[in-house]
Amino acid sequence: MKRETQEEKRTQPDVDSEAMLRQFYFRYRDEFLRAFSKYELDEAARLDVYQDAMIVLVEAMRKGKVTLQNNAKSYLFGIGRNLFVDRIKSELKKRELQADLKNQADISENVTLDHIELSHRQQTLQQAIRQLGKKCQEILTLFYYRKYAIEAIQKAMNYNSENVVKAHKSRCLKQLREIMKA
Amino acid sequence: MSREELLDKYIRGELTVEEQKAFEQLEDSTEELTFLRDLEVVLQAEDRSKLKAQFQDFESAAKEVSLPKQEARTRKLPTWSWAAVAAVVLLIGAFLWFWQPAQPDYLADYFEPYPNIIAPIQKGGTSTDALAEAMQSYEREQYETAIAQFATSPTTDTIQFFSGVSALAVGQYETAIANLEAVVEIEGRFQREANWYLALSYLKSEEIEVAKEILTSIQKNNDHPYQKEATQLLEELN
Repeated sequence: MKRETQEEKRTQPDVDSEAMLRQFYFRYRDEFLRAFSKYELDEAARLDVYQDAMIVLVEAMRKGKVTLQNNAKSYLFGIGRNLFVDRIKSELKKRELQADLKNQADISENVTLDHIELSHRQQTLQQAIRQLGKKCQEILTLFYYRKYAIEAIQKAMNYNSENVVKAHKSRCLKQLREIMKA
Repeated sequence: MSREELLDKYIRGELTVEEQKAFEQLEDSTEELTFLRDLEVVLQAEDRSKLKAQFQDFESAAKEVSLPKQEARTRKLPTWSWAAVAAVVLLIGAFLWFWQPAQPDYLADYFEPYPNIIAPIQKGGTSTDALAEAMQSYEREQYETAIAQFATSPTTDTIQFFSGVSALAVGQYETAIANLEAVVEIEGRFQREANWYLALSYLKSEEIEVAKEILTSIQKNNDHPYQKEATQLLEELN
């Protein structure tokens, strides 16, 4: 995990805390909805796009690719634009107007929300993960997806020692395998 | 380094040169590695759905807040009534905060401190070494004192076992889990007993599924001293 300096810590919203995430969510919401109103999607559809763009932004911020003071906003609006283009394209597809688009520049070469298609095997795993307790899900997410160091997990989840984290993580993994077998 | 640790480090790209060699020696790791890679993908997908759900919650919460605002504009209430409303909301909040759904107290039904079989206290005698003192506190059910005293002795599985049981007795479940997990890992005198207390500790820290898994392993073990208790507890849980 990337170590943050004190300076960054103070200005970077902790998007893992619900209160901060909420604040962050509403920070650009209205401006975003207004900026893209010309696309004439109804507000619910625009909100959906905003939320997808926020997901991409949150993931980028966690990786340290984007920071709040630096380029968060332009990143968010850029993703928003790409997502709208994708969406309008698929609407057109439905109307079999694909041909017209072939001549258009592919703006969505840039970042969009790369939809995760789960294989059948992965879907089985997904079902199994959902049967785990909340803490198990959290610890496995931090370790195997977010790639937190054990020490960072200890802090984030208030464990007493790194050994408990390790033991608990092992147990959760074992339990997950048991569920898969069953 | 355990197999699991090696695989984890490989997946996370943290292998040192030496560990890399050990990793290459592992047999049949393909399936496990596929599993761990799948895990990463699925956890990311799950994380995204959780974010999306959170955003949708923010929206519906915001809607609920903005509705009463409009009502207020049409029907002005005196200022004091807002204080009254705030007080009621606070009271309800406090009530919800402190109110916990009644759950059967499994600890009361199933927890029995493990008898002191280490240093039988000589009645009226004075003990000299730290371990004996700690065991004395343990036997007198002064668990917090015992935990502090155990901490001064060199760590052995025996000490960790009694320290864990003491922690469980006074509701320090995380400490209990830390100590008992360590005992369970070693094939020592208290391994099986520790498993039972570990299950209780997880149960009390609301890790029901983990507790059940341990209890099931106890239940399957015919020589286990707590087989009967584990079976009974599992029935209650299911």
